Amino acid sequence: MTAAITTHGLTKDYGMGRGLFDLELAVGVGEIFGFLGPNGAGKTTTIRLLMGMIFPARGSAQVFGLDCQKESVAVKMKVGYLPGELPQFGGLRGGEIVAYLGGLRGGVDPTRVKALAERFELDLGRRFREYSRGNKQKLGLVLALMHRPALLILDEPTASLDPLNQQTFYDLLRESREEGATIFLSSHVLSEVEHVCDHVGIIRRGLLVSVADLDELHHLRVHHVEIDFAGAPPLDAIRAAEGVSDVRVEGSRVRCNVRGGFEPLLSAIAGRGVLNLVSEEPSLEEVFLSYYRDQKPLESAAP
Amino acid sequence: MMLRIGLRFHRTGMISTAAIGGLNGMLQSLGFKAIVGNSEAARQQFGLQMQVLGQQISYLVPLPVHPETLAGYVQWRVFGFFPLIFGFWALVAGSGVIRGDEERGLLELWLANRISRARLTAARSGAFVIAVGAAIVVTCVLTAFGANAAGSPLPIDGLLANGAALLALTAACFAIALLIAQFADSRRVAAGVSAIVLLGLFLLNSFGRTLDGLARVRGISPFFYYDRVNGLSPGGHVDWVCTLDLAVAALVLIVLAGIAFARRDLGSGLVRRRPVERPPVTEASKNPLLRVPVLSTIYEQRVGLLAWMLSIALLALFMTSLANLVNSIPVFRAYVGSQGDLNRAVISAFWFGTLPLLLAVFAITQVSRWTTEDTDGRLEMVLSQPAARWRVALEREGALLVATTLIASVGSLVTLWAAGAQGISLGVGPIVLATALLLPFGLTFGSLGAALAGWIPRATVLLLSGYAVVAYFLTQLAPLFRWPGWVENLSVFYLYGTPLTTGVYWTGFWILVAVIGIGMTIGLWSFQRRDVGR
Repeated sequence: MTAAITTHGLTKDYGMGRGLFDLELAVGVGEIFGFLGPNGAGKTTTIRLLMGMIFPARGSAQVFGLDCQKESVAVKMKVGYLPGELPQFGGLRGGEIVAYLGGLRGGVDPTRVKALAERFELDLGRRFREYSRGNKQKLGLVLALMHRPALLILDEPTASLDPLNQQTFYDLLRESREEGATIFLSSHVLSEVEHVCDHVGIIRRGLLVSVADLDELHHLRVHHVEIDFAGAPPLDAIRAAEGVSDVRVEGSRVRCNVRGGFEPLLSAIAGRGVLNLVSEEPSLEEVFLSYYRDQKPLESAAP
Repeated sequence: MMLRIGLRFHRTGMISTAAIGGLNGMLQSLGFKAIVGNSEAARQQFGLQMQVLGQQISYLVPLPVHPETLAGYVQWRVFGFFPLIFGFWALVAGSGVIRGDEERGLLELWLANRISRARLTAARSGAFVIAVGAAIVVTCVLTAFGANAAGSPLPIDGLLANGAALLALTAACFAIALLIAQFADSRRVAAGVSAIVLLGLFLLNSFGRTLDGLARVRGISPFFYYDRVNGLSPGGHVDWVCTLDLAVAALVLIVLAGIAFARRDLGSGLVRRRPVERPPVTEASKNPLLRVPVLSTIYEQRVGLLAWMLSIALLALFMTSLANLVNSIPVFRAYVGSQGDLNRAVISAFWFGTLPLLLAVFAITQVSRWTTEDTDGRLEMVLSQPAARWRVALEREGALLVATTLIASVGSLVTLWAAGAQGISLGVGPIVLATALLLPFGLTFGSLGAALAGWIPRATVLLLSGYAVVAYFLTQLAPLFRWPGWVENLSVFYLYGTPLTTGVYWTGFWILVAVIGIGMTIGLWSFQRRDVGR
């Protein structure tokens, strides 16, 4: 498969163990690649190295075969970029920011801008400082998507978006892929990455821990479940259910962890007087601590 | 706790102001003996010269009283200039405290943690007053040290009176800016409006010193009350009531600012414009200026730029209109008579001595904008477009050049017109020359800023401002101390020369060109190679 993004030994060392170390990565053309990791793992550092904003201590990165440092202008011709946090544009209106950055880029289709603004229900007539965080994020997405880039690099794109706009964003991602675009997005939300990505790279403390496809990712999924029963809990059935672990009992309340699907647990408690069932997704850091405590980073990873 | 945080925020201002004030006071004191001469005749001659110079710059500082004595000289040359330095700090702090905290997201955090708005106002204002007090103490101690070393100790009670008046004046300026900030939509608007108001009050007092028409309304300017305290000059008087008036005015204004702050929404001013009903816009702006490099920057800064041009035009009009008035002062006529055309000399000294200083301030604000764009992520957003770094760097310099051209041209056109209206013929050629030479002058700050921003972005503005202050004083001190020519050539103001009266100072011009070339080369080189972003 042709690679949209390749990195070899990419390293940025900020000292004290912070940064990115020896990243070996390949993202194929036309795929949606999720870059998953907790806060401070090195996701943004990777993205900023790909965008040529910062320079590596060693190693290299290429986008469509172009060197991200030496040919950064040519790289950016092909890339739509959403930073983790939009800067202050002060008194400029949304439409003026689009015109200004579009002017720097050139060749932006006005009908595409209009279509994107309408889909996100974004008023481009308001001043940037008057936008809510969600609206600022929508503007960032319009700026990233307005020129139909061959590669989208998005740093935590759904941050601050409400569920409806998240859905609009996911639809736009799928449409972009259908048009042939490659998408590289970072996130610290496992469910989001599961929702849209073909492949996932997992990074922790600057080291790439795993690259997997979506099916392989399911083994990571763990839920904390709390069940209140009307009578005595069916402990033997719960303990015997596939994927259930760490079962704890407090009177008629049972707490446990569920890995993978819920079917086995639901079968085990069916018809046993369930009063209440609460399930919550643990933080990514908890998942990582649970799975990768002793695991070494990958020497090389490719989809 | 809030007081400690406030003091921490004022740390840079306190250190810079104390350093500028203290070193200035100490150097002026130490150097006095060398410049005043040994004989009584030389001393009297020096006093006369300083009286003449005092007339020239009376729009900046009060007229000197007994400048032939060290105490009188320090009162005039040191304490006379302090309202400018401390007033600028008060302006920045007054519009930055609370308003700036708000834009940095700190205010919401503090208010969410059971800190009342009244307490916040009191703590932030108190911290500023303490910081100013500390800077004044350092300044007075260093000045007194210099005077002692020179063998002419300054009267302690006079220093105390001057320090107290300066503290009260700075607090009053701070309070004015703080109050205005509660009515403005943003910190930038607050800073702009406060600058206009404080500059207006300063000029009202300054010109009121010589113009009878303004003398009657000088009382509304806080700078007038500071002028009433002359604790060092022999025979100088100290009006403690004026200092007390200033302190009370500062307190009242801070209380009013606190009340206004308590009544306004976060994120907006006390007086809020009613939103205009309109359909949502879903198209990019069609403004062609936004799509043209350099002009897009000029368009974005249009309001600030217009304010600068208007202020410069008014100032040019005012200073040029003083030409005939100044000519009526015999001692000044005698001073400039040897230089030939009297009117030209007056306008050259008054206006083309001040305009470079103002353009230096403008250029430094532009450099400050560049460093802010780097830290707040704006530069990252620009560089995420297919624009080469060198192009972005050159566009910044280009925008500075265009803006400087606009401001300088407006100033010169108004000067030419106002001079013509008084029957003074300056000639288009010399005015064009004096204006054109301001462009490399402005670019010098831009290129030095670009070079520094690549290495030490956080300290760039401080270093550049420090250089501007030192360079400006250098042009004043070098002739008095009879320093060698190479020392004078260290000052960008000296390198600009006096083109209206003496034509191009070619050595200075080529040094400026060399500094621009070297600065831009270093700036471009570092910009190409450094990490960008937060």
